Amino acid sequence: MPDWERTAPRIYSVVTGFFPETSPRDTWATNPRPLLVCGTARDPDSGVVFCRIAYGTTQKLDKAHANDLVVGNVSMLDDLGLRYPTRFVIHSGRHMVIMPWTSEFFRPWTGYPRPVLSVLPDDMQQHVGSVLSELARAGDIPRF
Amino acid sequence: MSLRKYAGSNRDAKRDAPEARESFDVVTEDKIAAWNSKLNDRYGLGRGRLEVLEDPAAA
Repeated sequence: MPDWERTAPRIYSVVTGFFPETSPRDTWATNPRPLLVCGTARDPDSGVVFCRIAYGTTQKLDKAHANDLVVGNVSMLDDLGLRYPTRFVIHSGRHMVIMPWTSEFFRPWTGYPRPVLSVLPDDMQQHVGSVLSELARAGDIPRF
Repeated sequence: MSLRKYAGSNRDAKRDAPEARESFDVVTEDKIAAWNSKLNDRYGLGRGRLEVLEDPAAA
């Protein structure tokens, strides 16, 4: 087990993993994509950490919902460890999943010791937090 | 000074990561729903069994 599996990522971390499948072995997924951690929990029996994950896409940025988190500023992309403008799809819980923080689902990009690229700045954290609270009130979010 | 150097090192690592150059597609709701169901069955999720560490949705 890699060391990073023992340490939960902080909420609002940009991480890298496979979505919506596991390792590339049996699926079309060949490359870990940027993902956003929207909550964390621990299994009291196994100790395994679980993350509520929203996925990032570099496509159809012009179709983003008003509540999605779109990162397009070059300096911000650089700070977050992203190369291209990226939309994190957070406007509905139907686009999120809860995944174990293990190497079956997450993988570091080359040059990174763990599958964590960065943590969102405060203003983006506030936006995401407020959207998540709204989704929770509407009952539209995957529960731990 | 050392902090500035550290930040620069991270940026270099990012620029060199070949994975960052990929295009990441949009995932359909159906595919996510099917996967969610598989994960929930496998790990017993969605029943409030896990201990929350950080969750704005729980506030």
